[in-house]
Amino acid sequence: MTDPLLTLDHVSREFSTRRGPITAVDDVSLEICPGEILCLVGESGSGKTTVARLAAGLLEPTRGTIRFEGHDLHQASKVEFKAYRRAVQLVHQDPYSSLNPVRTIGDTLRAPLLHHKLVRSRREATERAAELLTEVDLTPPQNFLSKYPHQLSGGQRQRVAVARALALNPRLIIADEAVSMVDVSIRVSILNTMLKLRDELGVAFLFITHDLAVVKYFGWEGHVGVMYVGKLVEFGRTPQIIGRPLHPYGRALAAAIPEADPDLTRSKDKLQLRSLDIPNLTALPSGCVFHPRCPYFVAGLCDEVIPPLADVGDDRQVACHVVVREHSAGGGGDKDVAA
Amino acid sequence: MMTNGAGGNGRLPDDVVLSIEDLWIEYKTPAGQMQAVRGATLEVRAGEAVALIGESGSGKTTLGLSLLQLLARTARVSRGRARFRATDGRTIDLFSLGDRDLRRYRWQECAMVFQAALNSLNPVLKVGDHFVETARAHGKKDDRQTSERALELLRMVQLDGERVFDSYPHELSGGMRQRVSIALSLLLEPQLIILDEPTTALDILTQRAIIDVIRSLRERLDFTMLFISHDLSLAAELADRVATMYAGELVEVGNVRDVFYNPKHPYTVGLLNAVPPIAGEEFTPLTAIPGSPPNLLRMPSGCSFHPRCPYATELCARQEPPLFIISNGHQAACFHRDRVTRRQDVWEETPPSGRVPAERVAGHRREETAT
Amino acid sequence: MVQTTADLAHTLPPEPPSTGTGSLPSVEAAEGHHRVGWGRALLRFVRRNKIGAAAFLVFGFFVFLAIFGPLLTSTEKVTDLTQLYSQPSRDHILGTDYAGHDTFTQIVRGARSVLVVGALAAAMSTFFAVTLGSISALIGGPSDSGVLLLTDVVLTIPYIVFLGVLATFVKLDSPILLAFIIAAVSWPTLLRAVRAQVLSLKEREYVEAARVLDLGTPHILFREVLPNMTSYIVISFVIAMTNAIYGQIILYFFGLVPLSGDNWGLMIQFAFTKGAIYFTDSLWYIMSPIVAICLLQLSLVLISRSLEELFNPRLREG
Repeated sequence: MTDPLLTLDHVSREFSTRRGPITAVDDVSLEICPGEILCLVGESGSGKTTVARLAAGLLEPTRGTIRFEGHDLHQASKVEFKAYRRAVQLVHQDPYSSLNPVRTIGDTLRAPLLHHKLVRSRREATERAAELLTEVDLTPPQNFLSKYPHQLSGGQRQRVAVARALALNPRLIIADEAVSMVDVSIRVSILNTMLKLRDELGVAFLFITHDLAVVKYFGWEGHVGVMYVGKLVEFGRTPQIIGRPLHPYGRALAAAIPEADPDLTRSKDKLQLRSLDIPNLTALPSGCVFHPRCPYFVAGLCDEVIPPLADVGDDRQVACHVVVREHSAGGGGDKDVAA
Repeated sequence: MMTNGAGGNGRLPDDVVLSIEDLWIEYKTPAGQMQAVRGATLEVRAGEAVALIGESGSGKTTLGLSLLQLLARTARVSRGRARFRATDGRTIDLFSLGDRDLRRYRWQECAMVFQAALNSLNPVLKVGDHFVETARAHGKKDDRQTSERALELLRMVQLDGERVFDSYPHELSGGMRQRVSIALSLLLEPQLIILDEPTTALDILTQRAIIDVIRSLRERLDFTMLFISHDLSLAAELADRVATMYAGELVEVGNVRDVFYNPKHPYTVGLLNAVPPIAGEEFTPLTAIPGSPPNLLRMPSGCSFHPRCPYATELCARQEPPLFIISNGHQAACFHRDRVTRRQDVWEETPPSGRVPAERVAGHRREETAT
Repeated sequence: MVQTTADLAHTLPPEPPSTGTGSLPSVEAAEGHHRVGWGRALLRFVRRNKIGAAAFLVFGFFVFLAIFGPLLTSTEKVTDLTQLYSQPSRDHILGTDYAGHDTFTQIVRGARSVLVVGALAAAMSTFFAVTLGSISALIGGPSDSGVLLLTDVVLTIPYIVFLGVLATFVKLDSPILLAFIIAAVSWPTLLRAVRAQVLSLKEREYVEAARVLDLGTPHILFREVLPNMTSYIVISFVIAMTNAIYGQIILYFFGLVPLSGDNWGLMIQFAFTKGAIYFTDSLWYIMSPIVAICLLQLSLVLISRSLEELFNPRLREG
């Protein structure tokens, strides 16, 4: 395995708010290797967006280190940081605010090319911009270069955002809910475009989403991490984690999602949670943060000891006392809901 | 299904609660008149749950809002009508209601639950006040009775009645506010509830709670429901009948099993093919619908879907297909409905913008069990 | 950022969100739209915005007066003691003043001084406020706090008193100096407003994208942030101009400025000191400058209200 591009090493990030300090990300460790796809899935408040922003260098961790190609990002020299900036780019969620409304698509794409002197003249910049648009399947590119963002549909704008991210020939693109605000029928083709970029250009992706379906399609060949209130609770290869989650939160999620199939969805077994309340971020539960809602709850253990992310074999890690115990007590197999 | 009751004498048959006939709604824009809804015809029978599914630009929200006369000033109904059978048996023409009758109709006969992300609750009023004020606005001045009913409704939507009654909206989570909205809509025991994107912008687990709440309410209270969404899986969960909308037109209508298991309009098929099942450990290849939704000011000729359709022929570019009858209760607006199936290979033959490389599809096909 | 159904109430369709409630169109990309030029945009503006167009005309009239007024009328003020505060007649359209001078001539000649000082003061304070305000907001940190402190201090200085004191030391006879003085006391409010705008724009995702693309602060300021504030800056300028005009009038009225030359403020000052307010005959003399000022201010305010449309590229599209 080649050296990782980007490493988050026991990274935590705290924010101080009026109601008190909030730990948005708590002791998360991740590694992304070149050409890899890593998905992070979680609901709102899970900290996945904060992880994206940490990885994009927009935030500094309050604890832990972020390393790019082995170098600590926030102790790096200007040259190293510049190299990082060129190699790691971001695609935002909202196609309606990620493009400057008073600049044409051409201007938006030319700016990074000219600023970083990747081209020698404005004409070359325009040519390269057209190439980028073709890469993201916006053809013919001439039709788009002189347009303003409001003249494009949401899906098209999102493609422009990807093209912009490609301008500096990045090695990693962080997509923060990049298809969540796009129509379902367009979503697939944008995901296909990004997969194509991975295949043809070797770009790695860190894909943040709340949508398990998107993870299942886009991240099938890679890894996925499930986040809950700032912590990674399960991590492993996508087919296993989505198809057969072991952590009770992951299981609850997979069971709760409605399917586009009446017979299937109406007969699906839902995992009953003990409580519908979402944890208060300024007053987190003791021990395992999930314990007030967890059907596997074991008193005295789950509410006192924070479960570490532990290996349960098969390239999978789970942060749950009960699951880990089950697995070390001999082999896999699904845990049925304990009393 | 078209029953003959929706005829000249204006009375609706006993089992039809809402009848929308050839409805056209247009918006005034700087670039001209824009037809947001084109000739929509739909019947909703008592006790049914009808799902109106469509993406942005489909006209579904416009249609929903029009039923409560909540459209913007720039919109107007240019053709068609919507008739509603009130609890007292009278048939009301929804678009010619006067102010007083409209007030009585709204909330007492038909109520609406708005999208979760909207602040449809007044931030300076407690939850309980919302119920009391609404009741009073409709002439029910017995506050104690209203409060009791409110508590009962709040419990029915799985909320802690007393606590929520005394809370302000900002003290509740998004999911809780949505449930309050649902309880509020039921206050005056309307016949018809319209829900606009009831689960959008909510977390997965919260969504599930809302879906379960709606389902249990329907079982207990037996009201008629029309819900609008872009999410097909919501229809799969809750609907008895499904109508898909594209570019302002109803393109397929049928009962939920027909539409999901035997779709006959290519757009419906496209939508179904874009959403994989979560359950199961096999990979499901997805296909994109090529192109993008049409500009409603410059619609394609003939069938509005034809530029994106793998089944399209010259006929489709020339003529607009009407809703053809497939079977009892199942209709689709497609000339080639007999050829339409859920198979994905048809879509891959047309060059979409962005496609999965053939090898990937082949590779994944090997993994999956037979579709 | 999910669209609300309430937004449908606007005359112009807002952008539809893709996840749901919007039922308004997205533009078909395959068709080549070409950008509508300025000329067409202007015509459309006039058609849709009759009040704004009328306001522009009125303002244009005053500009005309400012440029050509002094050239078309004689410099000499003809004193005619037989015609004190006379009523409008064929010789004197607006009557005469305390010394028989023609009121209309004074109005025509006064426009230049008012507009020049007003525009100059507005330009100086807007430029200063925008530059310092936006840089301060972008850079943030202690320098931003320092700028804010300075702004607050200047804001608390009593304007009139300050000008009064200044007037005893400095002879405020040049319009440039006068403009500078007025600008010096009016920039704080403007700076705070600009700073707030920039702070909010700074959080926009396209600015964040520019940061991740490492495009640098100068680029972010001049290419990403300020272009989104063009209409805001122009409107601020227009409003600053109205404030500067009032500022002048106040200075003249209190006699803090040398009482020479032609200026509507001066006319009001004379009306006050020469006792015009005690007669009904002198109504025309008092009201002429007041009406002129009001008309000018009104046209500026209405212009500022309709300017935004001209600058928004969205609205240039057909």
